[in-house]
Amino acid sequence: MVFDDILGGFVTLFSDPYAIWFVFLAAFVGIIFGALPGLTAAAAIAMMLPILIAYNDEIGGLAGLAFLYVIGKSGRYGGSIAAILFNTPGTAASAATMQDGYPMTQSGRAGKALKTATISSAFGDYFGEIILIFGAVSIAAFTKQFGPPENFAIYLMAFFVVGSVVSDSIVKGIISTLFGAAIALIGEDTITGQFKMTMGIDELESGMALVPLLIGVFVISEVIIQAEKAAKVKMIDLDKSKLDDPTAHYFTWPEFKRCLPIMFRSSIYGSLIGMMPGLGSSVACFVAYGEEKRKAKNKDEWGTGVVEGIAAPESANNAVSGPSMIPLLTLGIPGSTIAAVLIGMFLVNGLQVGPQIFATEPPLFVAGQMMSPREFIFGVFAAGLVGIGAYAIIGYFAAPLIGKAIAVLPTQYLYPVIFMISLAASYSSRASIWDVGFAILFGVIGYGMRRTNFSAAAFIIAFVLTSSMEEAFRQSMIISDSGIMVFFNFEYQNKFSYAPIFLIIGAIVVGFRAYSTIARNKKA
Amino acid sequence: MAQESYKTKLEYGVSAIVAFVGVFFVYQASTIGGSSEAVGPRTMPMALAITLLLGAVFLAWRAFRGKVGEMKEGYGFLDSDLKRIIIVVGCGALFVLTFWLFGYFVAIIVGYVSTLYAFGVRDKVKTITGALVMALVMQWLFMGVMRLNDPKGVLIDVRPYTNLISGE
Repeated sequence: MVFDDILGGFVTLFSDPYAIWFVFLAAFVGIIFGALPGLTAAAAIAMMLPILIAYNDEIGGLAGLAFLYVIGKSGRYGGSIAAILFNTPGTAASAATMQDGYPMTQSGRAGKALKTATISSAFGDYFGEIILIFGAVSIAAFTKQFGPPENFAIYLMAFFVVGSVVSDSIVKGIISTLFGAAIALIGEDTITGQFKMTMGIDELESGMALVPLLIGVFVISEVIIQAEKAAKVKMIDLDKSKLDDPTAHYFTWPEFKRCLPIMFRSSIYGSLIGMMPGLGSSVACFVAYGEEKRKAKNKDEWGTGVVEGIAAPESANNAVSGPSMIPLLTLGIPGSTIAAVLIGMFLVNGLQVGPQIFATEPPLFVAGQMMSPREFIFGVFAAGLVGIGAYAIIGYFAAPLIGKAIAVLPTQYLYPVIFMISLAASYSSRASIWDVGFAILFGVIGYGMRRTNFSAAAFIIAFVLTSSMEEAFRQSMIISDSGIMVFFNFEYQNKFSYAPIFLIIGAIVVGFRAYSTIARNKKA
Repeated sequence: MAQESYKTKLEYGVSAIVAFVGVFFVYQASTIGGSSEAVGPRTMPMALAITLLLGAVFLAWRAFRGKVGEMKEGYGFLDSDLKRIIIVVGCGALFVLTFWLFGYFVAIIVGYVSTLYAFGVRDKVKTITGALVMALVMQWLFMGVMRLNDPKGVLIDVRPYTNLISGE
């Protein structure tokens, strides 16, 4: 059944020329953004989202979603280019790659390091994608029976789990989610139609838009940081002669065979971490690097420039990508910022994320064809599979060139261009000058959050989740005949309730995190 | 020791800001009208705002006990360049102001020139040429291709000219 769906997904994808083009475009754009130190796939998505929404009808829904989905994957990979060549992780996901990647560049083996990263990233990404496809379908068959109390319990669990794991500080992570949730509640109440917390500003009656928030916390805060750096240091310091050693440009077959078990194990770590909402690539890369170094026979050589030290973190951080979609597609919970943004794009196409996304009815009109939500989502999965191949091919042959190009990019011109595009994109989300102001305001807030250990990712995920959470809470209270106890009882409306189980899981995760933090602090 | 003291002070400041945000949302939630439902539109915002306040109290209590942990790289504002932050934010504010007064096209030119200045570019020819190219491309892309609303400025209306670029 699933194999038929996958084949059907490829048919859906290849019958939509826009979607194919957008997959390749996303593979390229994601690598560039990932490789630019400081900029991430989330920043690229924030700037592209208004354009994709505006053109959704013209290009077809699949093209827009495929673009966002693939850019998340290629952006993660692109981060390794900066980590290897500039000793600066393009994204947090590549921080562990620097430890062996940059020493390889210094010893004239940049080409080998880049190719190792490319192959390992693609391996991990394919592994994660397979876990996603088979895992999501199986889990969704179970979760589609959930009602409002279970949904609220899952949202609440996600709030506290995401808040407690994304930041160094549990309290600050949870405060970040609370802040995002409070901002999300501004605007018209979906049930009574009353205006809430609009501060008398008419533009806030329809709520705060996602795009200015994304642009503020991910792009403008980065522009501020780069403006500070512009006065102090040269951002990129690349000795280009290190890229020109032709003998060092191959990831050999013996090296591949040696790294294959490492890539496999690291992909398992990455996939497991990816399934947990909030735990992302940055955690996976260090877990895989640490575990594989511990097991390695040549552990003393790790950190001096060994290919295994690149294969482990790169397989793990890309294996996160697919499984991080499992909570989104089976429970409606975004496991990452990119997944949170995808909710908006699904809604634009008339699809509510959650287990019903695998339904075969009712048919949708997407990209000029009638198709079921299941066919559509398998089209997105096919885009992911093609996108991995696309970024791997581009990266394998062009990563050194991309690195060289970025090294000569005049950052004092680049970041002003990005700043202007982000302000224009903020305006374009609702054609409101207020949204430009909000983007600047959240840029300053995002800068402050970065400097004080708050989590921008938790803030955005909570912002996206809150309206559904509030709706589930109020629906639960309407159907409940025991008040708030509906969330703690194992039965409501004569059926078994899983709500208490989710609340217990959430409490265990937060408790475990709190215990390990306290234990670590005591040890220190 | 000095770093620990700095972090403690900063954590007090952070807790004060979180408390301020919490109080702000408590006030905002209290302005929401009641409802005949068991759980009205006020419940969730009020619960979140009160939890934010509790979070602020916890942060302050932790700072008071000196349990703020070690100061990691990138934490705090010791390395911050306040002047540049103000300049960049000022560039954004200038963009909003010129957008309102003179419209989108002029705002892009003024915004780009000022941001280049903030990033240390002093080459007048490159600045002006770059700003004009930027404004032309952005006008064509956002107002022409995406067909966004291009409002006229309060002081002047340059749309009769910029419409030639956007093809309106």
